[in-house]
Amino acid sequence: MGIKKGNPDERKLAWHHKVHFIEVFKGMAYTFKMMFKPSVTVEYPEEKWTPNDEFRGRPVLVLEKDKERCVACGLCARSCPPLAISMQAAETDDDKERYPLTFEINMLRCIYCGYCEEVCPEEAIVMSKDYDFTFTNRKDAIFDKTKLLVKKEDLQPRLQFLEKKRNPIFGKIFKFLTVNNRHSWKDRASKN
Amino acid sequence: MELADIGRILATILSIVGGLITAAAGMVYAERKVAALIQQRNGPNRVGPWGLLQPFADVLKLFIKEDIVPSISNKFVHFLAPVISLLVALSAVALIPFAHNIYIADINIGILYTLAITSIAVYGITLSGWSSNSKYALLGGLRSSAQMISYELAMGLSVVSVILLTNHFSTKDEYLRLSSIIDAQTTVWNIFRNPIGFLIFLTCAFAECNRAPFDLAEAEQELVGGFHTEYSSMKFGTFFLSEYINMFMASAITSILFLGGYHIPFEGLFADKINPTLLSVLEVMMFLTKTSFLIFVFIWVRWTLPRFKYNQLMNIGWKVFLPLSLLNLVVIAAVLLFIK
Repeated sequence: MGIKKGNPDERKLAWHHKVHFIEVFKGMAYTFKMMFKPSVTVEYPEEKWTPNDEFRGRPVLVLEKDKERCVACGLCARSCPPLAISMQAAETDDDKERYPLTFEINMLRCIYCGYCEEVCPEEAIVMSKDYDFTFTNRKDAIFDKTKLLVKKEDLQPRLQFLEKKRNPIFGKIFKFLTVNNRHSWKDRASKN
Repeated sequence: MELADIGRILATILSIVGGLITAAAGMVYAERKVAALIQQRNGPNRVGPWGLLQPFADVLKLFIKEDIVPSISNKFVHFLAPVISLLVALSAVALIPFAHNIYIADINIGILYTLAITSIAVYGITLSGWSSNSKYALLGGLRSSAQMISYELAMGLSVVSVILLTNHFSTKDEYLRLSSIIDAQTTVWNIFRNPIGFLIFLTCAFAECNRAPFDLAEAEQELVGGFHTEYSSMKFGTFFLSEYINMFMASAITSILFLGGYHIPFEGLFADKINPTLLSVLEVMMFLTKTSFLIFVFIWVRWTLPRFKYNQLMNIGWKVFLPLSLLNLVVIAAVLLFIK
């Protein structure tokens, strides 16, 4: 009828654990060793972290030969969950026939999900590595074409990454029509 | 007493207290920097070179902050509690001998005075907990007083073992004097004669200072801030300051009791040959080296060990340290009797 002592779930300790001091000294030796390891801190404003190619920063439009790749199909705007993208299409004499007259992304709404990039048939909108930008009022937060267009050369790592990783199964299952598809940028690229 | 004597004592008091408050700033910096090193961070590095002025920026911030007193608190006691904390912490420093001739007072019951004064420090914490009229603060205050009672015993017993050793090895009669305790360690430091006593004393000192792993009185994760939850501005700063001065005190007393205080190893070989002023300076540096090493140990332990649970704390205090320190005392007494 003795009173049950202690918590039944409590771990049973060996004698050298119960003495505490041995384990305490072990722990102290470990922390002392850690003191001589280099710091892992990135001192942010002075020292900037370069993200990997996987990183989803602010979405930008690809500028190829001083013209945007975008054909203003509107898929990105349709797929955007927080409705951050708005665009207006116009016609052009170029091969691609359509281009966005205005293209705006409200960066207060953008959640960096990357759906726009995923859905874009032209690889015209991609997620850049740009993560440190700020604005002081709501108007500045709406990025228009002047801010969104970035040269293709600057986005090369992300474009290569997309080529390698984007929709791998999709492309394997279906055979796309490659001939006579002049709307595809890939087709245009092969012609030039 | 001559006017010159009073002047000399006043100058000593002012320089020691002033130095101590500056040292507390240094300790805050050291604490944050060591914590950062252990966690592979950088620590403070914005204010001044290597962030050295960070503690002063903190103090400035505390001064500028609004002093909030809870409307249903006992305002007089709420004001008194930090005063008691700081007063006690500073008055304990009076007996610390920095060198054989640099001290504020060297009285014949030195170690008893120190023990008595450091135990009063708990009043500051308990009263602050009670007067704040807040459950977190009250719990912190209660924990602190219970903790103090259970660790004072083991601490006192390990001090008794040191006094036995002093009685045997010292050439002086008054073996409660701090200077005779140091005198007894001219050949071998007490840490080698009495290692168990050293470990018990150091652990109890952690508990007495309310430092991790025994910081149950201010356990941030469970009690918000414990006893100082309802304090802001410089009243909080006073608690903070007294915590660091207590830490310095505990390190200083430990170094006096177990590491030979200001005594330099092999001092007998060159003590007569060099300038007495130079000797004093060397002794002060020796004492500060030992003390700062112990302060480093305090910080190091804080950033290594997690906090003990309350039942574990009580178990260790009453079931482990009390019997162990009694046994240690008996063994030392028997060995000393055998040597005689």
